Amino acid sequence: MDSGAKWGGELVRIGDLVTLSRESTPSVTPSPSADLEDVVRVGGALADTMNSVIEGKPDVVLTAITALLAEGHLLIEDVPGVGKTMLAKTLARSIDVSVRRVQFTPDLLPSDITGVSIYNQERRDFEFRPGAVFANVVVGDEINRASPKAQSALLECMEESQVTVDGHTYELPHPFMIMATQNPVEMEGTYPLPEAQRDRFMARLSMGYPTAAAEVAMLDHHGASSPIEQLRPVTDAAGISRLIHAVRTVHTSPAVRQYIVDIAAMTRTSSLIRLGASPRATLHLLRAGRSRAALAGRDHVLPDDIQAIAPIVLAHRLLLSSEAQLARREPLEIVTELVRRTRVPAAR
Amino acid sequence: MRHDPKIIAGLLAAAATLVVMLPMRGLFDASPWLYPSVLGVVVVAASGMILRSLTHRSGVIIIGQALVAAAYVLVTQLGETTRLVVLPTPRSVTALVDHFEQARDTITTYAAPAPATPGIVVALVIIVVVVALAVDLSSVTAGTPAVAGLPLLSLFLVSAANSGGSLYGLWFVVSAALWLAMVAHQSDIDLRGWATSIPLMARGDGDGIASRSHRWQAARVGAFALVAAVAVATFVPHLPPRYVLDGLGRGGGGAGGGAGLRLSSELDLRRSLESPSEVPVLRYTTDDPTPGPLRVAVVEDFDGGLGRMRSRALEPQEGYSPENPVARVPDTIGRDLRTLVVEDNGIAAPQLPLPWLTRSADLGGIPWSLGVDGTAQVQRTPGTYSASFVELDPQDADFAVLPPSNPDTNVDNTAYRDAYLSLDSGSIVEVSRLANSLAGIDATPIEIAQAIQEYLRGPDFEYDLELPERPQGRDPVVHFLRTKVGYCQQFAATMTLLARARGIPARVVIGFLPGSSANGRDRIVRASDAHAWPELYFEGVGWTRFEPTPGQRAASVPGYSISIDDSTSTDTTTSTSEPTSTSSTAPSQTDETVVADPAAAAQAGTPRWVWWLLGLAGLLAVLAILPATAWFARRRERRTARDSAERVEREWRELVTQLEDLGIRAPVGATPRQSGRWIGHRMHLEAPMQEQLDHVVATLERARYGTPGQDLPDVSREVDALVGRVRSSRQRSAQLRSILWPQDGLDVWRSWGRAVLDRLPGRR
Repeated sequence: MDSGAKWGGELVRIGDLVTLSRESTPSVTPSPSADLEDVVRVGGALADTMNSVIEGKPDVVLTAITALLAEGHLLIEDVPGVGKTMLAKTLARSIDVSVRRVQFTPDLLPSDITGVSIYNQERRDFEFRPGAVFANVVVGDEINRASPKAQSALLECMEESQVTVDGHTYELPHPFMIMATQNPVEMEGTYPLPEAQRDRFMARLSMGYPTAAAEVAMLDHHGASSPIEQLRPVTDAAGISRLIHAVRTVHTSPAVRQYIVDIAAMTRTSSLIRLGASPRATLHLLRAGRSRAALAGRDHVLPDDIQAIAPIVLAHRLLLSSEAQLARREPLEIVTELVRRTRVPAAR
Repeated sequence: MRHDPKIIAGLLAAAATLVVMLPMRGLFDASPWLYPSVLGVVVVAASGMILRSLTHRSGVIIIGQALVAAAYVLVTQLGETTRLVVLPTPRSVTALVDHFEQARDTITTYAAPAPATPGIVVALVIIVVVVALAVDLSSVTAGTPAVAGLPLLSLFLVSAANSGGSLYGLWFVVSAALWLAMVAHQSDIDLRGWATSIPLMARGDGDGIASRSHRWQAARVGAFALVAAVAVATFVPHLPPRYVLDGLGRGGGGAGGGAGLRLSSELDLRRSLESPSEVPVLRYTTDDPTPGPLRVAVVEDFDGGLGRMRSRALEPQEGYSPENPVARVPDTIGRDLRTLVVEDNGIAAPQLPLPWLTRSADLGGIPWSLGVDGTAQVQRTPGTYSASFVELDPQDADFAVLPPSNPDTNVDNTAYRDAYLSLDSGSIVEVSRLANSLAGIDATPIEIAQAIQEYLRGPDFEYDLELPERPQGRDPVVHFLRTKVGYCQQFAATMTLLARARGIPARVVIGFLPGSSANGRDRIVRASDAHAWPELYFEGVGWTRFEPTPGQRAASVPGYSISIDDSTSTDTTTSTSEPTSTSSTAPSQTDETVVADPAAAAQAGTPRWVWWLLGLAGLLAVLAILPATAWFARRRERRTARDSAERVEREWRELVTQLEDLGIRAPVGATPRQSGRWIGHRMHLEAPMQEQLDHVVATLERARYGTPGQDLPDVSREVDALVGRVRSSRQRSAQLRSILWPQDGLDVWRSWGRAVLDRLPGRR
């Protein structure tokens, strides 16, 4: 496959499945027991690297890193050609981890994702051949093109970081992150993700068109060769694991926890929303908030973190009521408004 | 820069002042004060508009307007005393004081309509200009037209309470309408102001702020109105209860030929005085510019109380014509022949109101007669009648005429002389003692009479229709002399008895005050105009009227009844009498002074400025209550915090409340960071101050959301610096308000009040 060939390194093909691995050394490595300073340092380096490829989208890059450190999965949804796959690939290439890319097509089988047990003639035994999810970063392209059967194969591994095939459970590597892209315009012959599955993504991103200046700069940089080629990985899987561990230590005061619950309650009681945020959504909100605070070098979460992260964490999970749909309201805008209307608890 | 001169509001204020001023014309017989006053109002309004278009600083506007108004008064009223046209000189001050004294004398001497003396003109122009200033300042410059109602109402009540009659109702309607228009105009401005002043950030909360301040405003106006209603009613005595409606109802009813009014022989004038009826009992015209009261009956006997009426009139005769009443009066006394035409008589027969010294009367054929005491008797009530009478104008010299050697030939009432000198056994002791103490032994009769009247009109005596409780068995006159509270009957009877005790024949006459005049010609007498006054007999002059009753419900004080020498009778006696008499009168007079003014004696030891200082200190102490409470509350809050996080939280609250006092309201329900950004935006802070604010916000964030138990820095210095910086950038008035009326001080008092209320029994 073309895209696979460009990535270089060892190429393993299983159907439409591409496995990549590289032997480059990471330039920035977190210390054995990472603290917040490392998070800021490594996170900053990661953002710089990605920004050099994804021109003019620092917010999107920051959100992607936030999700990575919060152990969440990303759903990138936008029209074709704005760099969804590029973002996913850049993140994957900036870290020295195992990366697999799955091009979702209608004929993709669940076993292509999870793996399959094959009878080994020589050893006269069934042998497990791991599927595409057995990597630290899995890039799922155009996820809504695959059949619901294939999509649901992702469910277990997204939530529990494990795969069960033929009664055997296989642990997935750590860190584990799925970055799925989705095209909202060509709806024919697609299977929109069911709510249950959308709920498992921590955040949904929308790339948006680049600014004029950024687009000019992109033509300049990408004209000759893809800048992805020149990317040096910033850290490795173990480093990311340590950072994730550091992020978990970020303090969340009762007031902030109350604030998160209040926001979730607002989405459940609003007349504009048919299906509000799930408890998993509040958990995701908390983890994303922690990650964001850590990236800012803070050992505690502020309501401001929650406010900044809430729309992208909550918007894709909500089902709008028919009135809101008739009024052509956007979930993102509704969440923003709900957050603005939620009072920040002042007491500790 | 151009400022809003507020022309419409200024015009409304000037119009309201003018309308409220105009009814005062009824209080005086001429209106030379009218045009200077109108011009004064115009000057005040115009100077206000000009100053407002130049500056928005209310202090400058007020001082400028006051200076212009003062210059106007100086130039127009005291022009001959100023230097360089507008500069006041010491002579201006003395002239002003003289004018005011003259005005005071005029008001205390004459009942409405009083003569418009130069003093009255100056005083009125100053009063009107001051009211115009107050109205313009409160309604236009300060933007609180509701408050302007107070000066307007005071000026209006001057006319309403003193005209004696009732004002035409339209005056009140027009002035009230103008006041409401002022309030409405200002409310309109305020409403339009809100639309732009609600801060963008606090939009979600904006309605709350607006309605809260609206409610606050309404509550303030309501409180003012309530206080004003109570205070004004307390300080304005004897306001006729229906003076507003009367102007409308006056034309109806009419006196007609109904039962009519008769002054009771039991002599209870109080019922008449308290009568709320506005129906005229008498309507007449006269060519006398200062008519005296009309006489109805005479009281001679004072056995056991205030006396009983007794008529010496003869039986009514047909075609009666009285003898010339002035036949025996010496020709040296000035006299005028006057006529009186009664158009509507509501006094029931046999009484007939007539002026003193009636020469003849035309009752249209109804039989009548005139007694030697000047009272008439009629067979039937005449609806209309006319009378001609002689008005004497005795001078002091006339009273000095020595009694003729043979009294029998000259006194018209020798036969009744004893009756006019008898005292009542119940009060003889007190009356005699007082009468002897009021004037020296060798004082002439007129001097004695003047001293008695001066004593009764003095500051000790109080006019009140409500008499103090009288103990069983105490004589009414004795009771009056002790309590010094009463109305015309008490004053008249007491003066009569005091005069008799000094050998001056005296009697009480009851009748009616000359009444009020709407157009200067027709006079209207109401039941409440009933009056009693003493008449004293002097050789060579005859019976003369005195007026010992102070206040409005009395006739004008005759000129001869006031001693020319302004000094007290003490001086007169000491200068004219022999040493022996001085020694005999002096002790009692000393007693009198002590009794007369105990307050002055008590205050003599302490100079006045000490009281001023004490008052000032008290005022400062009251003003300092809230700031001191706030200061102590803040200190306690900082000290009693359990950990550093709580302390930072309290310091932040301190910052927010103090900024709120200064008009910067942090958005409700926002994160500290947003609040900090909003405050920084509103405060226009320069970099170092912004850093301090950021530091405070960051500390608060750590206190609120950080790991518990960490040691946080003290940010009170930054808080104080920020508050100081914002305060210095605010308007002077906002600064003062934030210092004198701090919210955290208020909160302390509120919580104390709540705690007290909660402890009250029965609250649960």
